Amino acid sequence: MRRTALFSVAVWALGAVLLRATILAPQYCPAVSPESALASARLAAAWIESNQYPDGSYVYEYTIDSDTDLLGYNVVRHAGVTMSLYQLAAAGDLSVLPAADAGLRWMLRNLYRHDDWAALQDPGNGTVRLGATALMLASLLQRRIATGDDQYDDLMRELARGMLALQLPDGAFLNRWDVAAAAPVPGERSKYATGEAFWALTLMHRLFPDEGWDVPARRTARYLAEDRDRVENLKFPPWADQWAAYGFGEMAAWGLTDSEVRYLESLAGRFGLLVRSDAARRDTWWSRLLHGRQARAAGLGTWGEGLAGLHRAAAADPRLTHLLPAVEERLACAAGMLQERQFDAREAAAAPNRTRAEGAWFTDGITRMDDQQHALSALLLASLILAGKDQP
Amino acid sequence: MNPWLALLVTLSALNPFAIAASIGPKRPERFALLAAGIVGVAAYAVAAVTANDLLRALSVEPETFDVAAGVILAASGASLLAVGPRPLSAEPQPDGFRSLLVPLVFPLLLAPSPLAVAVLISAREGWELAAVSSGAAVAAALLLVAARIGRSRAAVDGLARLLAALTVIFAAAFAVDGIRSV
Repeated sequence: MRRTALFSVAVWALGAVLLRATILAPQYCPAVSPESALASARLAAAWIESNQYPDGSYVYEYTIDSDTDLLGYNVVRHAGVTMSLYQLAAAGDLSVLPAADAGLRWMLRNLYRHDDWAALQDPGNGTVRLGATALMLASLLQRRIATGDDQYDDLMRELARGMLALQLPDGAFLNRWDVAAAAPVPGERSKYATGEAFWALTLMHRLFPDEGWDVPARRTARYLAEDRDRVENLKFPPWADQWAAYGFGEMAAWGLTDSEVRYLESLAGRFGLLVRSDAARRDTWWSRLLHGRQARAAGLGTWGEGLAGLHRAAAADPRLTHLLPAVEERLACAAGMLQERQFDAREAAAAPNRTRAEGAWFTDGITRMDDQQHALSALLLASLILAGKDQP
Repeated sequence: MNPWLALLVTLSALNPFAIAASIGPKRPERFALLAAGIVGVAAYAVAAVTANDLLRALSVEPETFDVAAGVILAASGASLLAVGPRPLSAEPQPDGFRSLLVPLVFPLLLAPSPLAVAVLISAREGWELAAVSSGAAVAAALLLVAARIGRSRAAVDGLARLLAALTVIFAAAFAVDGIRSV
């Protein structure tokens, strides 16, 4: 009998150790306040401003170990970074407008026009992709919210029509316009761009409510909620789409269908799981072995943005109100992790290039401009939500 | 989780039939059963009352614990389903006070699965429901032991495996719930 008891104790102990090392690893959410999150967001914005070239483009990727800027550029990310600066402006910090406007001018120089619509064209390879146009439009919409300046209203309508040139009858979007053939590229879709276009359309409806932008937005909302994961064969659904969350956050006030509510509940669960999992990761070889590498800021930031979008939807729709406490908790956790992992002034002082380091997030010694973009947006929105303020 | 479901989950995790099968046809003394019941109920009550503090101390979110509880339940349910309850009556019994604890209280009444379920229910629904369902499950197990249903070896073995199968189903539900929770 003693052997039975000892054997049981041994099995318990082994099981406890295994669980603690894996599923039950301690989750660490650093403390964060609205003020500290906003300060961290501003530091990220300062990185973007300091690392902008005279032509309005940004340092794309930088490796701290060799103090080298890496080659390459991405027009969709350019539009996203510019949009994040305008988000900060829309939240009240107009000091970033000069840098954001410089980023906008870069996009204005790269417009593609066809019939009555416009799109953002990649100056490098000439491609016209939905995501670039959608995020350029989102930038202009955030700028409009921040400044009230209507000089780009007609351009916004052109860009929105450009997106609709790629929309399919079921609400899905094709990803690319073939400039040579003057037609959409059939069969090519993007798991990012559809949500980006959806969000931009919902913002268009906010600013121009009598122009009918809600009709195509609703078509895409239904597609995202009911069909997208299956049709586009996305693994482990729902795809953690923060752009869709932004859009539904905007759209919730118009009224959501039951399937959209279910989709948002599942999306909240996905973002929650991702944040919880990352909170259990440490920057050690042992943790990397058992739990994988800590998410890069671009990833963690998108989860925070997604939670912020869902928070807005949950605040607007009583069927989602039950999500609010958990969403706030996870958002605060994501913001706390971002804040703690950011290169502050002290760490930057020891870096080979202070301008490239301060306010940035590095993964394996590399930062890319969208690390700062998504982290900025997430921290900004978290600071507003934690302070009980409205999102722009 | 409604109270009946909580009770069913706790019963399947504690598995009174498996406990009765392990004790076998021998009837422990009334005093031993009573003492085991008190110790068992008290232990589960402590687990239920301190569940949230325990999770906080471990820095584990309740939703994450749901997944872990699913793993614990799946492991114990699957092993019981595959091997069946292990009779302990053939092994030499300790004397004196130790006979109250081993094997009835430990490892039969106090086991990882029902403890995990007590913590899970407490974190989700409050400690009262967790304590009551655990207490009821302990009482059910001791009643079956007192009734010496372990004599009907085949029947008890079958019922124990049935509850084990149910445990595996609950395990999957908890794990999925934990993964899908915010």
